Amino acid sequence: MSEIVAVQGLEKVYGEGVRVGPISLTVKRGEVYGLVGPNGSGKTTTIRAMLGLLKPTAGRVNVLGYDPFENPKTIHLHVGYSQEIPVFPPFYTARQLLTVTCRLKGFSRQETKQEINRLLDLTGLVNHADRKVGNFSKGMIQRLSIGLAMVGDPEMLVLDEPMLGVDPVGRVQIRDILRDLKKDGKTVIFSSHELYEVERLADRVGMVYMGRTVLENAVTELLNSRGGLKVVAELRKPLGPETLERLKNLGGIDEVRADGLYVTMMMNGVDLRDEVAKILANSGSGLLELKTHTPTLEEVFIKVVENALR
Amino acid sequence: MLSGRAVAILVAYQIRRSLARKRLMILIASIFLLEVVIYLVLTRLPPAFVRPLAGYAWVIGVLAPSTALIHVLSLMVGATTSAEEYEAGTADYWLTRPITRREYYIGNLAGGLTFISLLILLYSFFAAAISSYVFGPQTGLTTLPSAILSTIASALVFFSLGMAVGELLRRSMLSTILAGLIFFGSFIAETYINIVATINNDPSLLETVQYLPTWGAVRLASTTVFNGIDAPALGSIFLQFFTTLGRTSEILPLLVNITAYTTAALTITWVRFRYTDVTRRAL
Repeated sequence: MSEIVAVQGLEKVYGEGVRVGPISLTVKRGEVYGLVGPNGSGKTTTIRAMLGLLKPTAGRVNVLGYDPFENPKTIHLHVGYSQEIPVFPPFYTARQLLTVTCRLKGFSRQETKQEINRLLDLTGLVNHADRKVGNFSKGMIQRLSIGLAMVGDPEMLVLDEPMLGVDPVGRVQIRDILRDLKKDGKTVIFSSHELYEVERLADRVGMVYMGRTVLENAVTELLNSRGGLKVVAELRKPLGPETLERLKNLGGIDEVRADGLYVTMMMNGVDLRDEVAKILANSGSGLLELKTHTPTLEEVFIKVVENALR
Repeated sequence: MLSGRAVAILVAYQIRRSLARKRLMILIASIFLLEVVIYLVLTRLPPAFVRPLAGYAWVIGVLAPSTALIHVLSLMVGATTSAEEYEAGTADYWLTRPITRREYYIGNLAGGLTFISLLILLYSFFAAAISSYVFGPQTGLTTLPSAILSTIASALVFFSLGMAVGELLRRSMLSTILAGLIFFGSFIAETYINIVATINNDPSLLETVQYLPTWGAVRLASTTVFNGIDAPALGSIFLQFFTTLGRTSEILPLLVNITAYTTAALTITWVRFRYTDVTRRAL
């Protein structure tokens, strides 16, 4: 897969002395990329630099082979964007806003009509098309914003906190839209500080914390290698010291903790459940159950941040 | 290359945005109210006083707003055209559509100017119509188009100053206040210098006022009209109504003043907009 976005050492100094960066990330064509981090970590700065709304103090931003600050029109012909908190001129209706974007993308009147119908249907706004957006709910605004980003079926979508302020029904709709985009092979970059959403949808993830990139990797790889597996064994009798030592000596187990009839093991990077099951079954303690707990992205993030702070 | 479609969309947007603003609507209403009040007062004046002016009644209606109101309105439109877009967050919306910064700048500029021009056109025709209706056939109406054009040209000064301050500060209320201070400061300074020059009989002081932003803006329309209607005596009567208008029969220095201020303000606006970040809406 070829690179569609390359951010290298992006730094931004704001007037108030606030410094963000260095942030580096690469997004490949056709992948869903989750940009995660707490509020104020630099996600929106990165996105705004990618859209040409912000000029980096240092570093380089390249989108589709262009510098976005110098070539915003080219970028916005191929990239759809949905703001963190979308704001539209309140006197426009949803249909008028979609018309404006279609016309700016060079659509003819007939094409505009067809595209509007497609997007209203996709975002579930058919019945609200002629209402002024000033009267829209947060969820409707967010869906309209995603609809606007999708005008002309762009090569890439950048969605800044697409789930922010959206009710559970709206979230399901947005999630479905994102899944369809993924199925269609579109490149999607979305930022969120709700990590379970990223875990569900993203192929790769970039983690930013306190203004800098702390990690970038494929989600599955990250969960396996960084989070490790937490395995809890339930036994009939407490484990003897000899078996405990055998478990500790298995390469790849970070921690073994015995607590009465339960033994908790942290496996780092390697799946040793077969070996552990054999040892426990032959230990004479009577293995009742072996529970596996896969770490969440949130746990991985916390771990990564803790390491970064050390 | 500049996209005509993008500019046209932004012009339509700026007109709609201006129409949606209550403060602007109040100011527009007060312009029309001023017109009505002026003609109402004229009908109450002694007939002997009004009779020689009756044929030129349209001049008062066309010139009265250009003394101050149209400039206040222009600076408000200018300041909000730039600053309010950042403040409201709509700059983000527009600048993430396929348009260049140049198209956005020109579209906004043209949109604000179109709105002001339409208003000037509307109240000027309103003044001409009401004058004809109340005072009978009007004289020198052939000057009306040039009066309208010169009013539009004079509105450029404070519209562009408002835009520049709005772009620099990116806060609409603060920009309106600051641009308003520039206007009223210049207006008061000009009046004061005129009075001092008259009392001291020192015409050299009048040279100074030529460098003030109100000098060209406030005088251009009246000078164009009085030169056009060929009624100098009448002109001096009207000038007594608008004390700060002063007397000049030359259009060129006025145009130079207007061009200088407009060009400087629009250049500042463009440079600031082109080379800096799009400010994020304050959350």
